Amino acid sequence: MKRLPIFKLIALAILFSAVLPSCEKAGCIDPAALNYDPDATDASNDCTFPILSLKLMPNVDGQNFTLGETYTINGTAVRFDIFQFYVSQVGIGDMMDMEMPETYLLVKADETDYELGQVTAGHKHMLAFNVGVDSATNHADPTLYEASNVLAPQNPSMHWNWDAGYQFIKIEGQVDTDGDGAVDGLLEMHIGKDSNLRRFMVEAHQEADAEDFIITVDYDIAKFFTDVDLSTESVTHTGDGPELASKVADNAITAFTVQK
Amino acid sequence: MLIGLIACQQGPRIVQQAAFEWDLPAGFAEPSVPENNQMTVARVQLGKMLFFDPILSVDSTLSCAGCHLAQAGFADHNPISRGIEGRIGERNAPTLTNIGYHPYFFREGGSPSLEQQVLGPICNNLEMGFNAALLAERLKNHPVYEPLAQEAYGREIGLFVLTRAIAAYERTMISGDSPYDRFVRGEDPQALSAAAQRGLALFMSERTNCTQCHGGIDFSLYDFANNGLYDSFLDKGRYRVTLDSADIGKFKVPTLRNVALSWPYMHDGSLNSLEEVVQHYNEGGKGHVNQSTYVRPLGLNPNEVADLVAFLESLTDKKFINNPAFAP
Repeated sequence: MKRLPIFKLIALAILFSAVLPSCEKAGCIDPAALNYDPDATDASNDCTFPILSLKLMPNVDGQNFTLGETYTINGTAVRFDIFQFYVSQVGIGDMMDMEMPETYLLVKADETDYELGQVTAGHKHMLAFNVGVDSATNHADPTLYEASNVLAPQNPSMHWNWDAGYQFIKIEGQVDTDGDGAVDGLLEMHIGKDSNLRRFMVEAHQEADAEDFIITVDYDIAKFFTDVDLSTESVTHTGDGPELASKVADNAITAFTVQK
Repeated sequence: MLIGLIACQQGPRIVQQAAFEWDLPAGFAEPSVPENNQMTVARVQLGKMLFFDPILSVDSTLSCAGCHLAQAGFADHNPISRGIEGRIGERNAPTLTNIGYHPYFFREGGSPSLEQQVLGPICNNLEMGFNAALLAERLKNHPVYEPLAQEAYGREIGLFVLTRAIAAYERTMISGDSPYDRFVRGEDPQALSAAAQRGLALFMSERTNCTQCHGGIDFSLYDFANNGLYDSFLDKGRYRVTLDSADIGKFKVPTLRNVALSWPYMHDGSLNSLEEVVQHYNEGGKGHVNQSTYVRPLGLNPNEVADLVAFLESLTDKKFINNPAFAP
């Protein structure tokens, strides 16, 4: 039998490869994406991911919370004019894969919605975050940030402008110090310093299965003051009242609950 | 010429400007300068304008210069500094003499850089009383500063430029041409009186141990020390940073240059004269538990106290104090 020349064999191979149906399939090949296609072999570059937002909802012992209103906490009338704190290093997912190290939020009691950014799809077992900022950030120069960054100088200020760094929690208002029901005493808690950084962690059991991935977290402002007698313990700037500052920092991470 | 700053879309643009020429006294090194704040003429000039501008205070009445007066050795004569509306601050204003050589700032060392300390007094409610974010807005609306910021830093006026420019200016405040300096350099053997020469010898002696804290070319080793001023300190000094009880009552050792001008003395301005200061050390301090071991009774007689005061007075640098570069 006459053998085909080599160039004819190559030409036939090219012809068959063009005519026969391909085994490859275009699609999203990232298992962490919402639209992951396990059959896809060719990246289509159209993967979509959940965008995580936290909805942080304040209350006082279950009552709706509004700045400027008077509440009774531990038997003491108190009005909050400022109630805000830093949240950082938000973790969402499994224990070993939780960190969003560049995430910093300035949570204010009159703002509830905070977009954090893209996360992977799937079941989210844990939610964790710091109340405050890590030591390296705490001692960095705040003027290096763009004005839009929550770590840049704020109004009202969230930074002491010296070594103490950021005020992790800033609470200001008026409190009843003499039991007459009138909120006419100073409430001023500026809580910070590295030693008062605290981490909240909870089993969240959230499903990141849509582009809008919103986790609603309630925080009970009354719980910031567990075992605090606001009629007598209403002022600390941390350095001048380290025990009270530490107690409120401890309390803060007991105040959060995740809606399921 | 200095070519500085890398261009990027939103960051600083490339600027080309004259480098600052240091005019250093003999034996003085250039102060270390941060990478993002290299010295140029434009930066120093902008810093000087801002240093003397009261718009840095909330009510536009008080500038940095309000507590750092040339005739007071770039400190002031109030025991405790006065802020806006006559508010009384917390401490005696420190001198800015040779401030560029310090490794940390404020009397408790609570600020790591000359740049970062700038916002301290501006935002202190007892001093200039302003909010940094609001100050940034005020500066942006100022007709003069925006082009100067662009020229000096290639970026818009704001807190970065404010803090860098003032720090650049303050680094130029170098004093090293006092009678003492001219004497020890051999330029003028008559620069020190006989009393000052005796005081110099006492100061340098192991009998007084002055140089254990006030050593070096700036008459400070910048350590933190408890000098036994009180047996109980209301202002806990370095403790405010470390929360370590061993640091209660410790403050950064100040330079002694121009000290004769910067009365009253100590962190709280509680001693009115150099005689009182020397006598404090002569008596050996109040015996606070953290008191420096170098502070102990010295047994100086009145003439020796006077000699030490004469020496300290010889550290006044009139050329520095009267330098137009440091005048409004």
